[in-house]
Amino acid sequence: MLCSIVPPDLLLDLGVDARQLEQASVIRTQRTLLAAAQRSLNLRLTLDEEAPGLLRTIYDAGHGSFGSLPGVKVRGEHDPATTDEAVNDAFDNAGRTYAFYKEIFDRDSMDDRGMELVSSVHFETDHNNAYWNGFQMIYGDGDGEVFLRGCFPKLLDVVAHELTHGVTDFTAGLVYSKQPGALNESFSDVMGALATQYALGQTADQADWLIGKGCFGPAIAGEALRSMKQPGSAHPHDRQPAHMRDYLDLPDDGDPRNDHGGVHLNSGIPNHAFYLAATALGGYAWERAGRIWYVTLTERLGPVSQFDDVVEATVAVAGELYQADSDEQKAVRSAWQQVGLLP
Amino acid sequence: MKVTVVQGGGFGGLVLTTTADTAAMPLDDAIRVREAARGFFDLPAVVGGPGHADQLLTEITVEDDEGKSHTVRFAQDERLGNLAALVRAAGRPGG
Ligand SMILES: [Zn+2]
Repeated sequence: MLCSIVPPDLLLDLGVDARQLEQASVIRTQRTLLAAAQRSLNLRLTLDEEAPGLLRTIYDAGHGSFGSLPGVKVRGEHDPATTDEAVNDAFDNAGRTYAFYKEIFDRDSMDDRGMELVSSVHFETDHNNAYWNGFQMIYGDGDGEVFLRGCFPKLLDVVAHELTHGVTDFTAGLVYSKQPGALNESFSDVMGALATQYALGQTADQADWLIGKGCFGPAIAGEALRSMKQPGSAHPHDRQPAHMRDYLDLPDDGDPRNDHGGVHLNSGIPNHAFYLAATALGGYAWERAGRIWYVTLTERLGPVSQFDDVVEATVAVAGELYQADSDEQKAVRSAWQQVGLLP
Repeated sequence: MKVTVVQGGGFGGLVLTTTADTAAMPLDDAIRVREAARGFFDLPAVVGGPGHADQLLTEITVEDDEGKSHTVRFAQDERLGNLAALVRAAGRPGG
């Protein structure tokens, strides 16, 4: 059955192949139902029961769109490298992200049950984006103007950012709108930065705290997509606030200019708070600040958590993990004060 | 016919705008835009669901030769085949 908000006759007018559409729609529905059932019943497929651990599969979408996802399988977990750089980059960085979560937080993939890490590269032609669709990673190639070709799967912080959306889906479930959406974005940036620092062996003061460094092409001419150290300074169009006084109260109205109520904009505030806490503590940021944020994300938040809820939860978690009035709790409290979320 | 495409909400958090005017295009491109825009004025203002994290949000505005205009917003989705073709025909800011 064709299930769509747009009447089928209009779709036909617009030249959509109804049969292809129906197949894609059915497959998607089945996948969604399966994933939802697994989540709500806390079950694993029997077939997967004995196979926890790292399992990566990379597909080539062959420049096709949604109808061609995931595409042709080009590399499995035990296969050698291919001649396609995007395939190998997506494979390697999914592995580094898995290793970060497993070695630091003892988390077994996004669902903590060994979920297969599926990635499709070469999505559409010159596509200027990378995202997580609830089941898998999708990487465009970039058009070489706005984004450099191949930069999305090449950058570990981009890959870990996207896979962290999966972790958030399976834990806090923060809705992708306004403050919960900005928190969802911020946890992805935080874990993206930490996975990169872990892979490079960098301490908090050695790290650049940039997200997507070197990914912009000549049309943007910016250093990075975002800066956690100095939100708003990463590129000429960067509007990220670093403090609550500059919070952008945008509607979540489907207007692309409003970005789901500013999710990629207001994330600058919690991003900067994490940077302040991590650099105040010094050493490896994933060890203390990272652990406080991870426990908060996976155990203390819900779908509609607001900035204030994260402030309260991180301060409480810091006290539980490291004692009340410990350096850790003081650093977290001070960080939220500096971005205007605590008096 | 003028087609304006605005995209935002993607991983980079950028807002990119492209405007295409069929009067200023080679004939075959102009035909492609007109074909892709067939049925556009009958679409509701919002089509499809809200989309996923970092998925591009797109707004297309088409102004016909009489100056009548219509705007449609959507999160890129497999059900929106020729809206994507219209974005491509107009010069594709984001994909
Ligand atoms: Zn994101």
